[in-house]
Amino acid sequence: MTTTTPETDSYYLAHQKVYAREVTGRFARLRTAAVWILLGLFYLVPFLQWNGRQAVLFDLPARKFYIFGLVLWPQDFVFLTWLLVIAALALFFFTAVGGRVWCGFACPQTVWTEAFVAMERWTEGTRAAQMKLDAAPWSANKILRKSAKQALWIGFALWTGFTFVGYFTPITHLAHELVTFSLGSWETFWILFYGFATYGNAGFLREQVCKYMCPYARFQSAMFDKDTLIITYDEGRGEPRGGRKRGVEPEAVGLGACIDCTLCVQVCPTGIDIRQGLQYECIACAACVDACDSVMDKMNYPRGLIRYDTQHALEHKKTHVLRPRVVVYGALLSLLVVGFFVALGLRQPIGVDVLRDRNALYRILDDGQLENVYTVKILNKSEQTRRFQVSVNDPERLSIDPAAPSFLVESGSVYPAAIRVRRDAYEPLGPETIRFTITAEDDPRLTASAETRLLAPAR
Amino acid sequence: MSTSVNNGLPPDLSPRSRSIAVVAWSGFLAAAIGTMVCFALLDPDTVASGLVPDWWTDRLTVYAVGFFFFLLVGLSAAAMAVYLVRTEHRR
Repeated sequence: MTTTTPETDSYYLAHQKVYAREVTGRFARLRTAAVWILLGLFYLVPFLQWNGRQAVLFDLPARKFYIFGLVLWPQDFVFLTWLLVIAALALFFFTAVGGRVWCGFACPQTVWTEAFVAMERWTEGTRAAQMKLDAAPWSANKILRKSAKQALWIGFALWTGFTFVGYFTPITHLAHELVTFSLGSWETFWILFYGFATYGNAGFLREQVCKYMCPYARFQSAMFDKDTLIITYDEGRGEPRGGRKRGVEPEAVGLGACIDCTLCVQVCPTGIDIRQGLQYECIACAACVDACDSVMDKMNYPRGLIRYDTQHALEHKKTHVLRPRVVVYGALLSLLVVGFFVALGLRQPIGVDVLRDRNALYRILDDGQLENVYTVKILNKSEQTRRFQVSVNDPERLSIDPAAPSFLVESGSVYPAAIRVRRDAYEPLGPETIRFTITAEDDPRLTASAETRLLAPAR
Repeated sequence: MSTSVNNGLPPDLSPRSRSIAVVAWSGFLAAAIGTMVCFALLDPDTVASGLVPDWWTDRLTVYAVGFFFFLLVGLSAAAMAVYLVRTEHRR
């Protein structure tokens, strides 16, 4: 990216300072707000409490996910998949309408990079100061600034790793282990692993993740059409570009509105020139919009030479917000979201799982009866402790031991009940499928059943 | 094109580092999804019989070993894909 700037252009030289300062403007403020809100949520949510436990906890050792009042079990995996499909479709929908708003304002890559860049600015100063510092020989000042930056980065990365693990292990417990130096080996490993990933992605790789590693960046254009909001350079208004003194009207010098100050290029986190048109590296962060607006203000030209707009608007045609692609994405998305909550509401808060005794296939008792042994796992996913009755189909023929069994199962736990099923050994011959049913004593509508095989001699 | 001097950005990754980054990232994504689906369906505690290897102790260890297994598979597949694309005979 070599840019030639006339050395006599006083305006460009004066604006190196604007470049040296960080980008300010509407979109920069919006992004800073997004960073604070999203990072704030990420770091604070694990500390929220709900009914005496961590409000959001993906308890892997206990195989239970807590999200406020909701407790999800491995059997509810379909909801997680469903949620991922909703997230993907929501991304498509917002991309079709607003372009890459996700990339510019909400993607973790952008959000953490912003935080890391802010720390770099605190320690090493503005971009110009950073460049000067990098080019300068090692000195006490350079060592101090560089090590301060690294200390902040590493500390922040480790804190991120710690918080991340805190979503999977109760965070207050984890914090206690941390201060008493009694962290488990896997906990330590995952904190370091995610800390390293944070440092690598946000401190070292940055926009290269978007350019070389992000699949969304490559296929997002498939969701685009001429009515999608993109960052645009108004070529008709801007060209021919060229330097001029402040306050000179473009028409007077036969130029367009672009003064070719290259600020838009200098503020771009991915290092592209938006004036060459939309490129897949553009993450729609609108830094160039803010930069250009500030220049237009100084020149007393109207803002919006670089702006959020649609291809149609740029061609002076009508922009359609509602179009087949948006309607289809929107309808599918609403359907999935409504379906998700309906299914979540209808979810049975109990479950049953039957395991055969592994040690014996079957046993013939002294009285000629056949016996199979099962572990009936009763899952109580509801918020209160309940008593459950276990029954088996065809009680005329199949008897169970203990007779009329009932078990007290605490809220949020699994009770393994040992049940023996007996029947006549040779009537019928061979194995058959039987069905266990559990019913809550306090609410007979709460019932669940599971099938299993009853093994018997074939002849 | 070099972006290193005039806007303060670090230089771009070399093609080799780029390949490593792509392989690492796609392998990680595949491993994350594989681990999630695998252990949502299988509970290490109920799958374990009397004959389990030494590392099969608690669930967290099994999850971690499972993750690294899937990571190995994912990295191998991604590395092979990158290798085949890069060494393709171009006419």
